[in-house]
Amino acid sequence: MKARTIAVGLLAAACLTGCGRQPASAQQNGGTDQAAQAAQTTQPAPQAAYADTALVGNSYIESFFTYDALPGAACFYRVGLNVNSVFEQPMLQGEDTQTPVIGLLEGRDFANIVFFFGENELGWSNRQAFTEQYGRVIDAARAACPDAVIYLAANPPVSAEASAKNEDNTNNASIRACNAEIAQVAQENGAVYVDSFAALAGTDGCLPADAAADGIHPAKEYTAKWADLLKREIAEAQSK
Amino acid sequence: MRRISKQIAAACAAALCLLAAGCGAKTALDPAAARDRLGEELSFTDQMTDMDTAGACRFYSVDPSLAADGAAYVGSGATAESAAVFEAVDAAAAGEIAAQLQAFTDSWIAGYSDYKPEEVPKLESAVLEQDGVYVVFCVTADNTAAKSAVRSLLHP
Repeated sequence: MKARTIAVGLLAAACLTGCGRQPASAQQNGGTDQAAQAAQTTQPAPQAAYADTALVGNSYIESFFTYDALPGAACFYRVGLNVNSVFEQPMLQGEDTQTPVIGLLEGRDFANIVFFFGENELGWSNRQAFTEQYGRVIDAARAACPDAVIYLAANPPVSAEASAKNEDNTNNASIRACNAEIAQVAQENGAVYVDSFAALAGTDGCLPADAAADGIHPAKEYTAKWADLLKREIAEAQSK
Repeated sequence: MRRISKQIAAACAAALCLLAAGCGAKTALDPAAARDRLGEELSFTDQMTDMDTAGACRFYSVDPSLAADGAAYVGSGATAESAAVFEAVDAAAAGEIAAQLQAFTDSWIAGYSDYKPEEVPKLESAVLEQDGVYVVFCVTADNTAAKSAVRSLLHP
């Protein structure tokens, strides 16, 4: 009788121990569900402040997407995209990986469209091809969203090291020249030129060395600076 | 006879104890803690940022209804490097998450082949492991070491 009692007791204890592990989230969620419910009933959900804004273009947009730097903004981009391939190539990820990137503006009522082009075209010897095609990109955007304010973001500077490396003509002198072309395209097409270069450059005219792991693509801090500039430009344009 | 029956009963009880303890011994992961551990142990060249479940699902185009919890560590866009730990709602959902992460990898290989071909080897050797409801994914500067670290995480 005594042995049976001990055996049953041991078996019960082992069952409680062996079956007690749950996925960590289940253990945590039991304690936080009440707090979460309380928060939901007392605090409204955060607004997607830039849901009426689309960022369209090259790999510079990836950090805006990663860090949600313009909360709620649509990010239509592809690494390596240029003013030609925007009519041909789709996004690599997201809901639609079939439609060419420029086509993602169709049927959407964006109030602001910010274009990011020029970095992948620095190596183009025919500069007129770049400026004329950029004009066609703007025309396509206006056809899709006739009431949108169009913004053309200047290319940011690259670091001194990246500039010296000069891969595919990526150096700060050529970036400045390209930005002058973008400013001209903006003026000729009724778009807003956004001087990203001035906003991100250090006193030496370069992107600070710690701003980007590759000296080209700004990480969180400098993407936030860039986003702040865009927010100011959007607020100013929308107030007119 | 009674003593032998008691001994048999005790032996059976002991065997059941061992079996019950063994059935419950599955690795339990907290995705955020696991992400932090991988962030410390793995080799990254990019400036990395933490992401919560919603951010991780958005970044990797993972269906959020499949994930009970998740955490990621993603690069700035300067490289293709990232790491993620997902806890799926069930094992079948974990398989779906793994498939979506593979699709993500395949699309990035296609995109980076022209844009930054030096990143393609990292993507081609990406670590993708599933164990039960958990899925771990890494693209790092040293995926050989990452594979060992992930195996150690899932099978301590």
